[in-house]
Amino acid sequence: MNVMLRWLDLKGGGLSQGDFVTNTLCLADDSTLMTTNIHDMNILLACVNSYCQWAGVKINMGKTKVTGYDSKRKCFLDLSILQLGNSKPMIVMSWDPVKYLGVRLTMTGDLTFERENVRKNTLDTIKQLTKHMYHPQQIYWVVQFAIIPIFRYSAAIANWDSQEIVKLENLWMCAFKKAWKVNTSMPDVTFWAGPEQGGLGTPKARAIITGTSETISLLNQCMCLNNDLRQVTIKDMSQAMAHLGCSTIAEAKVELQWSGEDWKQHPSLCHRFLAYTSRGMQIEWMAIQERSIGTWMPTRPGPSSQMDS
Amino acid sequence: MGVDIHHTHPKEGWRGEILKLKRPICLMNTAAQIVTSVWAKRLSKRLEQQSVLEGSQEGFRPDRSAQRQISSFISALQDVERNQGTIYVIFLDIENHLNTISLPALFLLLHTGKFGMNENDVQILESCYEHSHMRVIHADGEKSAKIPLHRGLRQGCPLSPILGEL
Repeated sequence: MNVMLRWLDLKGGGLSQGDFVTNTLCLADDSTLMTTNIHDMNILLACVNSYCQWAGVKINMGKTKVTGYDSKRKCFLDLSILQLGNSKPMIVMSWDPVKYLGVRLTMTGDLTFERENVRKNTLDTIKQLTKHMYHPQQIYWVVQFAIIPIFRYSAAIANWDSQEIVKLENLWMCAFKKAWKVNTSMPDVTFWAGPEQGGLGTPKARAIITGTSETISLLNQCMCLNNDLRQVTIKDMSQAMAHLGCSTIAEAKVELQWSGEDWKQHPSLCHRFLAYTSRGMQIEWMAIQERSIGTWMPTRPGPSSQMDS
Repeated sequence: MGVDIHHTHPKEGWRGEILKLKRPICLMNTAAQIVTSVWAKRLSKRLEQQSVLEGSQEGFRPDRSAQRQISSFISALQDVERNQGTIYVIFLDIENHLNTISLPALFLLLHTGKFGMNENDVQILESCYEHSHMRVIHADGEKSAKIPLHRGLRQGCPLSPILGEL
């Protein structure tokens, strides 16, 4: 596998992000090739085909998908000349969702399908809680370990808005009430309140994204290695700050509280981070930068040394 | 580790008894799991120290995750949107990746001694794969006859993911 990745890297012709050019993303045997023009893609596919013949590996054409998107003309691209060996991969329209590492997204960057899927899966799992032989504590664990993780996996990525989060939290509440076999009219606070207030301390979806720091965790992961993703994240943060006309996190926090900025228009991780910061999340850009390796700093305007908590 | 028991776990979309839609999971004994976990840690450490694996590989490596990869992909899409460019993407699906790995080629690599496993360990690992067999447990609990294992890595062994990336 490493041989193929090295070969593809040498061919170049991918997307340039900062100082890096990336044409492959790989997670174990799950590879994704990206280019800006169709000829580069054909060259990469020829490489993949040669590797497969050399290593005796077979590509499953039934599950291999190709898609393309022209952002300027907002249209789909002609992919008919793409070929892998003697076969043509399955074509997916740019506005149709693709399941990438378990997250449903479109080439236009739309994550609505992922949010819808989380909601549907949550509902389906809750429906299965009606006829069971488990006692309430066991069902409570089912909710904690089978229902909430459905949301948690893509929580920091899927760009949820407040209304959707409230709907999802209501579904969880419904599950908790089913677990304890209590009437739906029972006040929710019994579940939300912490153990010190006599409640069960069940998690809130909003807290998972913000306070419990799925977003910070992902931001940390993006920054921890000195590679293209780190550069892209810093660039994103610079753009988010420039968009607000601020040079410190504190300024951005105040600005966001005043303006009530709708970040659905700018769904990058750093934009969401700033939006959540304005809702009371503590910190952390400097801390994240200090924890991460390397000394590369962004060009101004951006989250440079003036950043504070 | 000579004979593995393979439990067939249904994949997504599994219907009936179609073998292709089942994922074979190798059930190894505890001692073998502990030894292979130690080898996996050593191998992983050495691969990172020597930057053997390509930067684009995110699987089963320290400080990397699926979420990072998804984030990276979304960043690429957003970059294209910002620059009003075009993007072509292909999602490759390799058929039975772990099961098709050539063992002679893999051990040739490990014998070079560049990957953190000393010669004795490599020989022990090689002997585990040499003359090894597997049995398949069917849904009714019945075990199949011994099937000789000539190629591929055990799905369920702690060492397999990292060997599969080499």
